[in-house]
Amino acid sequence: MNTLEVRDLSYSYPDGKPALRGVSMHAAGGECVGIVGPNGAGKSTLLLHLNGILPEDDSRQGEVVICGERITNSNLHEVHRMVGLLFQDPDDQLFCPTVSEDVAFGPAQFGFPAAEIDRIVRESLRQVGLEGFERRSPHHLSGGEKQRVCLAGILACNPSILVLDEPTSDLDPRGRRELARLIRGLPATRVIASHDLELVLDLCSRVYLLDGGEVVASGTAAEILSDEELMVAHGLEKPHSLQHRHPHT
Amino acid sequence: MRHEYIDRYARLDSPVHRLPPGLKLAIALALVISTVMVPISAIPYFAACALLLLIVIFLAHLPFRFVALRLLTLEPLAGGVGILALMQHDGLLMLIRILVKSNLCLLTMIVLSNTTPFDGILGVLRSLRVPQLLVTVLALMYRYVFLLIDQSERMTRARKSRTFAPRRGGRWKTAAGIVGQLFIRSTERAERIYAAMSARGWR
Amino acid sequence: MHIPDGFLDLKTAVATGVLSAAAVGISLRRLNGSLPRKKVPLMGLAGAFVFAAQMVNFPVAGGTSGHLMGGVLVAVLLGPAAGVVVITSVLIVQCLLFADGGIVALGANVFNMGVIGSAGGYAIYRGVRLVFRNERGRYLAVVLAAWGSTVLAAVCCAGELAWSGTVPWTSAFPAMTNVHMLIAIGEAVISSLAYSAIAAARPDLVAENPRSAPVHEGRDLLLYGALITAGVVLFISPFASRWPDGLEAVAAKLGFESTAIARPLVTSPLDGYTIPGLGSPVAATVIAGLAGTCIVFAGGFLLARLLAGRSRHEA
Repeated sequence: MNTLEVRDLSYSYPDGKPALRGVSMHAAGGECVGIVGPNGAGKSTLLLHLNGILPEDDSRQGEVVICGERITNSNLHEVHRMVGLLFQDPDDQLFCPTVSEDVAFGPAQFGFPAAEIDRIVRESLRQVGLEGFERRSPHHLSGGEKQRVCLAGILACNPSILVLDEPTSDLDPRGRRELARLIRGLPATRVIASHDLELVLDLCSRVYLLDGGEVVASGTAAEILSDEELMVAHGLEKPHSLQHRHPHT
Repeated sequence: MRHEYIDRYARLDSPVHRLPPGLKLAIALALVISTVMVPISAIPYFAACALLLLIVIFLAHLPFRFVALRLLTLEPLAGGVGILALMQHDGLLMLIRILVKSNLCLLTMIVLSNTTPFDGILGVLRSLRVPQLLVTVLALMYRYVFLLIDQSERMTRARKSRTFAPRRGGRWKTAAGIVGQLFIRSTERAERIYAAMSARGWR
Repeated sequence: MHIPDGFLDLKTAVATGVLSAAAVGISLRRLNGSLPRKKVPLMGLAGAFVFAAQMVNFPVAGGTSGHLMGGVLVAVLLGPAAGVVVITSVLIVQCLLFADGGIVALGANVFNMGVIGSAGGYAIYRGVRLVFRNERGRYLAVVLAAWGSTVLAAVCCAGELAWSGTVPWTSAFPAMTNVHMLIAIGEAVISSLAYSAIAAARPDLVAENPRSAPVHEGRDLLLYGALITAGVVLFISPFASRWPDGLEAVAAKLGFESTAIARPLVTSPLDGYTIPGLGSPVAATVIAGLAGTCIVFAGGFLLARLLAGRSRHEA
């Protein structure tokens, strides 16, 4: 059984514009899957469906199945815990006055025992390499540190699936390297949407190419990303590290 | 960031900083209330308060120059109202009373804000059962105020480097445009924050 | 207008504290009932917005600059209850973190800038809107609300200082009012310019949704009005009734008989709220007040025409 299954998912924005058309994808336990595509392809919209934030009302068309359970209006709270969503801008999700409060937010909301939460916060910060950062204020942190605190906040809830929306776009090269290293080492199933094709090539085994709300291609990362014609046709380009390599090496 | 000075000393380590925030807030409040109530003739009281505050400043490792500077920048208002107070038959005494009391209270608040991080104060408010919504608003406000000030400064710099509108009217329109943009971006960010809060189970 | 500690005596601090706590309580209860959860982060961000917006410079002559206070702007954009809560939060942070405004004086500052400045301003806005319902009427309403609430807040501030015995009413009232009538013009212009900028870029944010002015708003405004009236009764009326005496005393000192036809001693035609050729200072005050209001109204009308025209072009 796949940890994540999306079957024929469709969605239109409140103003009627279609965003997703019959999208199907899956991810097995522990796998790291990439989603690439031009701006406006619907990547973020798709990711928001994986955690249950979308659709806002009961207008579900298609299915999202997490560990065998279909997302419905009645299991949303549990879905939020099982699927951790990392947003592009860490300032949007690091909203508490201190680091420890922020990492503790998720566990507190999901009813983790109060006695455990301190330990969980410490452990999560250690996991992302930020021991001792508990009392720090978010506005004094660097972009990379902020993104790692956000990751800690999600790991603290012990999710089965990690969904990351453009995780490195606001980071400098060092922050990016550190985050990539962290993501690589995590055991959870991961879905990454990114413009950073080198990152996708580095971390993901399989890739889905999304354009105009549809999955136009899928395959291994090497296959998809080294297909120059395909990449360019959908507003992307072949990653530099593949430029001079034969696609089948 | 220039406004880093707000938190800069609040997170030092000293015997004073380690005291519980509720205690510090209570003492500050008591000090201010008693300063307001005690008649100006009780000079030893005011001297004792000043001495106490100076000792606390020393124990908290707060630079005296910093404190003095903060005090000075807040003087003008006291001075302004003080001048008005002169226009009554006990004017000079009233002026002295105002200056002594307001400076003592100012000093108290400066010391409080530089020995107690804001999240400590929020914790105290929560335990005093201040309504949840107000505490949430204060917390979010504190978290994002520096971000918005940065945005505002960036926009101001960008506009300055592009426009040649020396006329005051043009500058007002530009500044109002910045205020407008700040509001719009705030609403957009608020929506994204709500999405992030929901995604982490906020009920 | 942030009053530091040491200027108000305890009874004034307590009285304003009680009035403000009531207003904040009403506002919180209203928000808890009617604010969708989706909008809770917006309240916090609005506080950060007001704080940052207050730091934006609007240059006036010679190196000085004006600043937005923002009470009316927030109330018009998010509602009076939100306005009160947001301004209160800003004042709390300014007091605790920046020592800008005293902690014992917090009640007075919240009353002046939060209750009068935001909720009171909103009431003026709605009142003007009732009369002027077209596009232009919006801007006129913002202008008058910002000007009127700032001036009223300044008068209350003077009353609070006088009731505390810190500054005599005869000094506080003219000083505060004269200065703030000018500042209020700045607040009116800046608020309406900012409102116009928002309307041009995001008309949906300023849409006056009839559903968002539901039945309870009238009752809320009555409650705020009652609190403001209580404040006025406490802080202003004890002095206002002695006012003609004060003026006559000043007039007598200046060798200036109130019953004779007066010759102006100073250049401003309406200085000291007396009018040359008019006998009673009280009547002169009323007429001067009306004249001042008409001037502001006319100025506001012109500004509104300008802004309504502009946003139509830009939209």
